[in-house]
Amino acid sequence: MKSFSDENYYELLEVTPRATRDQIQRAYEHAQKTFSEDSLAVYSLFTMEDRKQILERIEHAYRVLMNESARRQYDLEIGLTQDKGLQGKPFPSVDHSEVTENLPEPLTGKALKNIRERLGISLGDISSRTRIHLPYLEFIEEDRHDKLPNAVYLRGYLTQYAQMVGLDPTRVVHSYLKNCLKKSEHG
Amino acid sequence: MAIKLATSGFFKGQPETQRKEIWAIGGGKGGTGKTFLAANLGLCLSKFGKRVLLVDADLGCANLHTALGMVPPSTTLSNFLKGKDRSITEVLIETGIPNLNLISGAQDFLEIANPKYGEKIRLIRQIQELDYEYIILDLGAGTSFNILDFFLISDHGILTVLPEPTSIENVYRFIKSAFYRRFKKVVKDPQIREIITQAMDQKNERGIRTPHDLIEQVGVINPVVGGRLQEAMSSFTPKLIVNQVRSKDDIALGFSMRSSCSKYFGIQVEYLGYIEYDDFVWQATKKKRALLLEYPYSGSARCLEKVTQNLLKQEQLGFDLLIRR
Repeated sequence: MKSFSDENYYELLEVTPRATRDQIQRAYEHAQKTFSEDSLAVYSLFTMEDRKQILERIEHAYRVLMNESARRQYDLEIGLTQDKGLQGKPFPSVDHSEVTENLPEPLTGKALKNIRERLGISLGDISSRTRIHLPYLEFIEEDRHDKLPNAVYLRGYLTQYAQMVGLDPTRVVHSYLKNCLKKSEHG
Repeated sequence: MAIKLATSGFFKGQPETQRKEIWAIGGGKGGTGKTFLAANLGLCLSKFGKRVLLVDADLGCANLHTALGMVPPSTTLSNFLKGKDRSITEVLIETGIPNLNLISGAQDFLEIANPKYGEKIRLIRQIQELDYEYIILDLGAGTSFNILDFFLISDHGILTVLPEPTSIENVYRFIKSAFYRRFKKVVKDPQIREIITQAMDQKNERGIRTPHDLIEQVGVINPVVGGRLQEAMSSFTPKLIVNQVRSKDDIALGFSMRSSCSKYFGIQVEYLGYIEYDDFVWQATKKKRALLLEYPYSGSARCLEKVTQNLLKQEQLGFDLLIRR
């Protein structure tokens, strides 16, 4: 049994060391909500200081685990040597600032495809790392909106796609869905 | 994604063929749906073809029979508890539902409502020998020793909580009281027992705020006992059901309580599922009928089936449930 201050970042966020960025993101949002000021689940157990301390640690854990090189460094520090497998591993760092800055608006599947190909990442790779079925990824890039699942799932897929190619997920989701909507209005 | 549940309880070591599962339903506060859950989990199991015994262990305030739509039975648990030589088979009642029997609770005086530890063990032992696959104990409200002991003796201790501050506070109090009670059972040393008693008081002089602090302090005095407490702690895995949920946040409460318990108490609470808030429950209750018999296709009835399946498969809710909705 460990006190929360002794928990490592994975334990703190309640994810496995193999967790994907998407899983870490969700676990982080859950943890933030759990330890927020108006959370019903914590106020009778933790003092205000404890709660704040936990939130700070969660914030820090999140920042480290979402940063590929910081995460690798941290894994070494805590002696995490086992192979984490392909799943969930982000792609080797490329400088994405240029593509992120010039993200077309509204964003089409074709534009996403161009960015991905320029970075030399294959769809098959994204599929195996995110476990999103390949046809769905193809439908996204081909803008075949009628074939795509409902918005809730689509958001999830787009978020993971964006993370894999190093784009800002919020902007990609927003911009892509805007394009979907525009198309459905016109035709 | 579903995650395997842990089992705890006294009778873990029994051979598989003799094993019966005892599920105890508690939760501290009154009105959180303990009796409702006991009756309907029992019905659900019997519908799945399991042989089930419902035991109204809410001694003094028994009304499980009403939740099943029965009149107050003349033979109750008090007949068994009063007569030392009596057999438990004498107080078994037919419910009229295949595979489902009932032992009704005592409805009399205080001495019956607080049987001695030995009597509780005698009761559980005799129940264990009966030919049932599942035994469901409906515990009363509160955190009396009586209730805690039944909860700790069971294989699955199930807590019901409403998404309301008072109910949540009481569940935490219940959890705390239960494992301190368990600690005391594994420790003989009077000095350490005294420390545990002090730790129960949140404003104790030793500055023990969390179970972590307690185990640490005990470990300094006697590492062996410290280790034993640690073990008692990790094998204590209460299950949680959130009742009367009306929103996604209410559902998420179960996950948040699980996280809080892990960080504060260092125990792994397992989130079995939730029951939707449903006017059909209210209507069935007013009619003195069980929900599963009266409105088997209601949303809440479906939630109950899901919870029962999770218990049978020994699974708890996976976190990804939240985003799938």
